[in-house]
Amino acid sequence: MNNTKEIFMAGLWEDNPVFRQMLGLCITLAITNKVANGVTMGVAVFFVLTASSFVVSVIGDSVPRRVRIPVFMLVIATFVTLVYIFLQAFFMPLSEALGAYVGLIITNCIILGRLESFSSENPPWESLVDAAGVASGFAFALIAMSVVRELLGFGTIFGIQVLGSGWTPWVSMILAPGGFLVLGLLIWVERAISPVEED
Amino acid sequence: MKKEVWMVTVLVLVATISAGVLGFINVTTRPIIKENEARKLRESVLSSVNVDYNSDNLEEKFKSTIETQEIDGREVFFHYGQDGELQEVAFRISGSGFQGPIQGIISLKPDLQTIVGLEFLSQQETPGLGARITEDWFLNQFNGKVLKPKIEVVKGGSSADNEVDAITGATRTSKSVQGIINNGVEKMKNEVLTDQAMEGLGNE
Repeated sequence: MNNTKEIFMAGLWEDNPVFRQMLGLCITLAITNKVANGVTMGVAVFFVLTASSFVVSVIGDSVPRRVRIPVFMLVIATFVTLVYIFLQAFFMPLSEALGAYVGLIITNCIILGRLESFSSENPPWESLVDAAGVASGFAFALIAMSVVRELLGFGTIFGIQVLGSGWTPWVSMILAPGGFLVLGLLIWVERAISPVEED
Repeated sequence: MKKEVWMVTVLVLVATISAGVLGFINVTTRPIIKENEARKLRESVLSSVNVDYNSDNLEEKFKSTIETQEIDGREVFFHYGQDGELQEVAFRISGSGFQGPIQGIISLKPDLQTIVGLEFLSQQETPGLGARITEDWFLNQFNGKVLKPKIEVVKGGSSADNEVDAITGATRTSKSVQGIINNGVEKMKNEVLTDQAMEGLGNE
C-alpha cells in the first residue's frame, strides 16, 4: 500500500475509525453535543495523531519491541499535554467546554491503534498520510454527529440560531441517549452508502 | 544484558525529551494562562456590579471602579460610586454542583442582603440543562433578590422577593446554586464582612 490517496481515503471513509472500526466512541458520544466542540476535538486529535505517527515512524526501528507501548504512550501524552496547554493559553472558552476530554485523547484507542498497526512499521510519509486520513475520518464523524445533535438539541449551529424560535429543542439530543441514537443512525447511513462486504 | 540496557536507555531518553519539551512550553505559556484567568475574574466582577466594559478598556475600568482588598486571605471587591459612597461588595462563592465544582462571583448591596449581580467563573454542569445557569435569563433573575432569610430556587413561578425560578430538568444544579449562594454569603458575613467591618467601610 503506497498509494497516497488510497491510504488517505481508507482512513477517511472505508475504514472510518468511528463508523467502521467503532473506535474512540467514548469521546464521540461525550463531546458531540456542539459543533464547536466537535471541530476542536477533531483538530486536536488530528494534531496529536499526525505528530505522534510521524515521531513513532521515525524512531520506530530503534525502539525495542518490549518497550514500544510505553514509548508510544509517552509520545502521545506529550503531544496531548501540548494541546491541552495550548488551548488553555489561547482558546480559553473551548478549553473550558472540552475540559477533561482533551486529556482523555491520551487513551483514545484510535491513536494507539494507528501507531501500533501502521506507523511503527511504515516510513514517515506513509504514516503521515495514514494518520491524516484516519484523523480526518474521526473529525468527519465528530462533526457529522455534532451538527445533527446541536441542530436538534439547541436549534443552533456554531451557536447561531438556525431553526426558528418556534422550534422546541430536543433536550435528549444533547444528553447521552441522543448521542447513541444519532451514532446508530449515522452508522446505518454510512453502511447504506457503502455496504460492508461479507466474506 | 545488552538488550535490557538499550531498553532502559530508550525509555529514559524518550521520557527526558518529553519532559524537557513540556517543561519549556509550560513555563512559556504560564503567564498567558494566568492572565486569562485574571481577565475572566475582572470581567465577572465588573459584570456583577453592572459596570459596562469592553475588551479594550477592561483593565482601566477595573482599576478605576473596583477596589480589591484581601481580608483574611479572601479577595473582596468594593465598588464605590462617584461620591465615594460604597455601592456594592463582590466576592467569590463556590461549592459542588451536580457534576463538579461551581465557582462564581456575587455582588451585594452594602446591606449584604440584596443581590446586585451573579456571574459564574467555572462550572461543569450538563450542557443544555445544568449549564444553562450561565445564561443571562437565569443570572438576571437574581438581580434585586433579597437574601431574607435565604434565596429559594422554586419550581413553577417565583413570586416572593427571595425566590427565583429553577431550571427545568436541572433541579439538582438549581438547588446547588441556591446552596452555594446562601452558604457563600452567610460565611462571608460571619467571617470577613462582619457588621463591624462593614461599618468601617461605609464611611470611607
